[in-house]
Amino acid sequence: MILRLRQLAALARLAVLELYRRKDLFVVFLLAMVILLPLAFFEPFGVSGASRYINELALLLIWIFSIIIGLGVSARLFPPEFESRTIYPLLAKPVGRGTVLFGKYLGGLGASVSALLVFYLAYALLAGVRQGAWFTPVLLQAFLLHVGFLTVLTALALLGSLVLTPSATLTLCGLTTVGMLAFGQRLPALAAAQTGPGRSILLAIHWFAPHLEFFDMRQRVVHAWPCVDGWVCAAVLGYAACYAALCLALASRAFRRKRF
Amino acid sequence: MMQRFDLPVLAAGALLTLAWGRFMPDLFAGRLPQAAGEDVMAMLLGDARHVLSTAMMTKADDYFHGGVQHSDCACGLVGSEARPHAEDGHEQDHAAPIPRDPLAWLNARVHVQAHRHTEGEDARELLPWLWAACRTSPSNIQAFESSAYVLERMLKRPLDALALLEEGVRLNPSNATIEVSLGELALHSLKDPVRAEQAFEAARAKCRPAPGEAGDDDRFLLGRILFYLGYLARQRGDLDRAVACLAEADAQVPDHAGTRNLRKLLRAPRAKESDQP
Repeated sequence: MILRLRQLAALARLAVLELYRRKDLFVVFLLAMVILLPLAFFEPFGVSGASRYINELALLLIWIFSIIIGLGVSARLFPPEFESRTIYPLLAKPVGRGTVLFGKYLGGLGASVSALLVFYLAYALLAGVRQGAWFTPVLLQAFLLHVGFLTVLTALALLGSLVLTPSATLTLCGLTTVGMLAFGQRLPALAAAQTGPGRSILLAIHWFAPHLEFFDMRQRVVHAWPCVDGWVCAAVLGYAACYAALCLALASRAFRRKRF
Repeated sequence: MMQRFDLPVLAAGALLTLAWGRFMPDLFAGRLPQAAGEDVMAMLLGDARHVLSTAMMTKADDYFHGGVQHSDCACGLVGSEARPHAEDGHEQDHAAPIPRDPLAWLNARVHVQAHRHTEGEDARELLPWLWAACRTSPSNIQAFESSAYVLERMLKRPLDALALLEEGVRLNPSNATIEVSLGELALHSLKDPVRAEQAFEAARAKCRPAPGEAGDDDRFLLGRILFYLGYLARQRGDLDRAVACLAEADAQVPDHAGTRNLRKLLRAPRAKESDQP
């Protein structure tokens, strides 16, 4: 058991180091600063004191960058190993395929969550300096649900990377993520407005696609609405755990059957 | 031989190219794809800037409702019914129907379903989006009117609202609606009947209703303009001018509420100064 945990930790550490070695986080952080800093001093019609617009833009950037980093890290966990054939020495060691898969997943998730933590700390700093609200309960809950979002996203991209090409994985997962964040909440209404096969397709998407919009708390954070009920938060995190477990189970099956 | 002339030929070519670039706008003035003096937004977005401006207005309206899209709420910044919430005693929380589908139900619990209305100093949160709406499309009259409304009524900054409306008039020299807004602001908030009358006179000159249904909006506006002109004339004791306004209103918009009010006002004995429209 301890040996397996050590193996998992070693595999996860590699993925986290890879993110920081590639300096993706530094680039996106710099880009966010370049966008947000001039806006922080903006006074529309000569009136100062507006802050929600910048909070909204900052959170939007956090979401975009977390998707880019989450997808980028997890979709590249296996393909380079297959291309450079370093997967052979890895599997030749006394490490099970399931352990490799789960270790890589934990690494991808850990790397994405560590980047997310940096973003949320920067956001709390921005909101704290401008409004005096540092770590509000709703912000902490938003972070928790955002971690839930990354749990699903990394599992989905990992599964994609084992059954599709890297570019196809990035495209499909990117479209699914953006599509569900934009339309996930409206799918039942959109399906009800359709007739024939269009309705069935939309209902199938509604039931089977990952409801990533469950994790989007931006509206509550920006407009200072109260937190989501604790049990609703738990239900959403439970959904994330179940969906990620399902993706990992399918990924494990694909990995076991894969011929290198 | 050729190498000896390389550098002078290159220099002459560069000089010719630069001179060509410099004199092109003068030689083909008005015939080049980009019009001189066009702003960056117009060049980048073309007509799409109107769509972007409307989207910014919608965003400001969402902010007015606490970040929630509420098309069923009659109160808002967008639309002709724009008015603040408190004025009509409208219930603030609209309970959304509870969905039976568990996924939709969970969604309804995570995302805010009720809405609230921005009041007082909080209204400054609407300004960045309204500012963006005015700047992306200077012909979006509603953006100027809504921004002026927020500045004047919600933030109690009538001078800033006046400056904005004056800018709107400068950018839309043929528009009567924005002149009427300016006149109302000058009359009600700044208590400046002279400035108000100037604005209503300018609006009267610009308002030319088309015949038929197409001119209905302009006729409605004309009714308001003539009422204000008649009212202001009466206030300063120029009854002939007030009667002329009523006669014009009777001829152009006999059924307008402004015409009825002006008729009532002129029949009544001259009331106190505070008798404002």
